[in-house]
Amino acid sequence: MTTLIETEIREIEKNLKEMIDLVLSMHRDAKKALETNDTKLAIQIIKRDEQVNNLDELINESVLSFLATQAPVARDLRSAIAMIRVANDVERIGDYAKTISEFIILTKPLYDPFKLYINDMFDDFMKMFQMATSLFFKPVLEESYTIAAQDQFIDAKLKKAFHEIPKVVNTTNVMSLLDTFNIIRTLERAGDHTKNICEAVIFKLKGKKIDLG
Amino acid sequence: MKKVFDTQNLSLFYGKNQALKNINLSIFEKSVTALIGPSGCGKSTFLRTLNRMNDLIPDVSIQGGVWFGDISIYDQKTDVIDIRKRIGMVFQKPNPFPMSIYDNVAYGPRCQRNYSKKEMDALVKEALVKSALYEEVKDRLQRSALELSGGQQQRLCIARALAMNPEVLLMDEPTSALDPIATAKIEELIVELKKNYTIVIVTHSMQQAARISDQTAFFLLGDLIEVEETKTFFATPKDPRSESYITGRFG
Repeated sequence: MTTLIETEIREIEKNLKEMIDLVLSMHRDAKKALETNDTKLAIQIIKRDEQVNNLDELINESVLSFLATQAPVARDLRSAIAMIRVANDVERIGDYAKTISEFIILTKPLYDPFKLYINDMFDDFMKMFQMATSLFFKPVLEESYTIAAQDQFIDAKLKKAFHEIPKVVNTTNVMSLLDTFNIIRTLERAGDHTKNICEAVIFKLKGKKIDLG
Repeated sequence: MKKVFDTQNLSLFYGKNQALKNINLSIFEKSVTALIGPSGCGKSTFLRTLNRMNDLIPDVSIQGGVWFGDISIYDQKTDVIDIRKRIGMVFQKPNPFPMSIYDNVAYGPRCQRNYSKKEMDALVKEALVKSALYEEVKDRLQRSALELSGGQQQRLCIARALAMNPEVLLMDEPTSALDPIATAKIEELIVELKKNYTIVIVTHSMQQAARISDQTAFFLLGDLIEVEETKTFFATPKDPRSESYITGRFG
């Protein structure tokens, strides 16, 4: 028999899944729009961010109402709190797709020497994001550590790109280079927030806040 | 924290039926211990072993021990009257005596010894103040206790227990017959009383156990499944049976 509590949790999970799918689609499209300088697609992505924000608000309200009316304990309580945390991180990750889209509209073109880094970091981040969010709904403790560890590859690419700046910078390209590097930094931050989702998985299972660095 | 009760391999039988199975549980001074579990799990039976209330039930036999400080509760030499004086009890339904509010509180002390009127007035007032009832009844102490609301009657029963100057209060579902406002008052009172008394409470309300207790013990079919600090128990119970019960997925 499904309890009232389970029914409410599933409803909140449904909204969270929708939010995750939306944010993932925004990043897939952001990567595409960046490659092709597609400003129309960039505008669509920005519009989708509003939907993400609405879902975040809905999840927050639903969890608040769930806590107030169902007084959940144990795994139900941990799940509810973890969902608020994940929604918060996913919302931020959505903001990053919006930031990249704004860059496409306002600042194109991308500074060429860093294109490869951006492509790789997009792929790394999206793979990690997909794994972390899937794990959240079917949590396995060990996997949360494994997935979180993948953030180091994203961080390493940021560092490598940073060290290349002195080699390529000159007075004519400095603004374009800074804007491009800003995208790299944004993807690195998206990786950090994905790592937070792994922390939320651990919280969901163990009720403890573990800092994965 | 100082242990007030310590049960050692405590088993209790109603005839051939074993209602408690090798219970080892410590209860600490000036704290609230909540006993939870489904109906028939043994939690009320356990509560009643602490002041020998089960002695009143025919065909009960007990194995193992219950220590109240350095007193063995079930030792033949133990003075049961003294034990019940030191370990007061409040029941599920308020059960005031059909007499005045004043006399309800004074009844127990009068059975113990003679008090002057001044002494008794002070004692009654103190018990009613401690049970957070005095302000509501101070102008009608000679009126019948049966005129009080359910919540007031239950606080009167707590005052009646406090008038005996106990060290421990055992409460068997003390709010199950009360509305949410009266329940909230009793819960506030319990939290206040634990500054001076050790409280053991049986409750079917998970939220009540979570709100007011320091330690929670979960019973199932006569076994003590888990005992844990309350905030840990309700956030991360260790035993899957505890988790299933408190999240309503039992059975």
